[in-house]
Amino acid sequence: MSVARSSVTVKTPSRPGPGQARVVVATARVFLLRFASNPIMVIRGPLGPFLVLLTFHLAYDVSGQEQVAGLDATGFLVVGMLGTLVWSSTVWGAGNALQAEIYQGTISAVVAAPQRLSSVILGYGVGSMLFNLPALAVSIVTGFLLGADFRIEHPAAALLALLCLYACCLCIGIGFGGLFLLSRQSNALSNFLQGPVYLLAGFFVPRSALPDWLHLVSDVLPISHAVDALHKTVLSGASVGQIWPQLGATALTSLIFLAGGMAGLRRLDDVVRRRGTLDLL
Amino acid sequence: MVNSMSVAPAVEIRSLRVVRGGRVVLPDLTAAILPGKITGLLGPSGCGKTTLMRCIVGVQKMQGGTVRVLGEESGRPALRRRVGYVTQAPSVYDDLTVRENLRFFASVLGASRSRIDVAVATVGLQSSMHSLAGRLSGGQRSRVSLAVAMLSEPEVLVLDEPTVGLDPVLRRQLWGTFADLAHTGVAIIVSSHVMDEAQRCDRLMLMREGELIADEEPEALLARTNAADIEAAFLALVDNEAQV
Repeated sequence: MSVARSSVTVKTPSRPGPGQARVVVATARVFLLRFASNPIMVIRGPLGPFLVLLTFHLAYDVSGQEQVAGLDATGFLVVGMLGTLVWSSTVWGAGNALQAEIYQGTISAVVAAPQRLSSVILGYGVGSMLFNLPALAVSIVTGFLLGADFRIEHPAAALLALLCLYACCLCIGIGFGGLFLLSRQSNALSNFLQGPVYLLAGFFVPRSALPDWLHLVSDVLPISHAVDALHKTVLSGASVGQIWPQLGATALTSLIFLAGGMAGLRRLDDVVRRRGTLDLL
Repeated sequence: MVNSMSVAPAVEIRSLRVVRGGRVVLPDLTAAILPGKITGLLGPSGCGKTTLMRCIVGVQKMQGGTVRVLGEESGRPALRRRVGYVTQAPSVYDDLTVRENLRFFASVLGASRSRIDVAVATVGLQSSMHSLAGRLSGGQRSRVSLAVAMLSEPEVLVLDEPTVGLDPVLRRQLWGTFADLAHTGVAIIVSSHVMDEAQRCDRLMLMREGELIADEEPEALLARTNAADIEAAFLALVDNEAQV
């Protein structure tokens, strides 16, 4: 074995950190490489939403309900399924990937590296988002097969609403991701939060059906406004000009979540370093 | 090797105190680690070696004292590229190939891709570049971890029991690698509970129950204790302590 170093350099100035974009791309790539090699994950990805969508559709069908809050019931379910997929892939996908790092023993190598932890979480979110694109496509195709009445008159507006949904979930993911570093109970926390978020964001039940006080809580979540924008563009043919209030509310609440998440992440990063619990879980 | 009289310590530890789970692991430890040297941290399991290393890397809460690495407080973000850390358990993704592991860590460490081949050659894993890490032997996975730590050309390399489970030939090769790195000026801190590895170190820090019972060159230690080997020297020091 040989060492390809020749100079003695002990005292050098601090070197700049790596480009955060490179870290995001590398992390997303690793996520895809690891999960794409798992056939169960590959099959489960699109199959899960298909089954959930079918179940909800049958439930609505049996109850004879064709419309939800004035919107086509099947289309409403498809939008809810898209919201569920985006939320679970970006928020919990990133968190679960971090937890997998803890169990695999690689977390301290990642956290002790000079990059920002938020870039790693963002990378996992993006990777998980890309991994779930087939599931997204299956949900839309299933919607067509089940006779959903999509009324997309402005495709650009619908695409913008979808991108907005992704962006707000990535912002939330940065905040929640840090929690997964704290304890091995984070999975239980994510499962516990899943139901309330699905309800508050109006995935499968219209927000208009919520009691006033719950509606206020729902308004705090960026994803609620992004889903509203998606409902309007996909099921009511709204244009970009007609969804500005929803996009604005999504942007504002997302920024609040992002700022809080970044501050919380810095604090958590410090706590786990100081406790020395990163690789001792 | 770097002249110890003319170079500032790579790591300065003063009155370090660490308490974990209500137990005092390091009561009051002071030491200095020089660049260009292999410093062996030796002692029985549970004596505080890993805790001390974690303090140097900056992932351990300290109740008192200071640890300065390359002139800065340990754990500072600016130090993260300059300090390499290899944990006891290999820190690699089992479901990625060796190359993919190194490519990812090169990105998060901000190291250039060209460093991947150099690091792999250093640990002698060229023939396993495209193998899944999970299919390698324990020793090979440890070497992947070591290659990861060397990607960013650290000036301080902290290795927690890097030779555990390795066959004698590989252990000899790795110690040769450590010596080569030390010749380039890197401060290498290697922990081990195997006393016969001590002879390969330039300096020894013998630990027992969180305290340093010796901090000197192996030859000086043997001469001072009049012992035939490091294990005997360690036992002599423990006996002396008990008599005092």
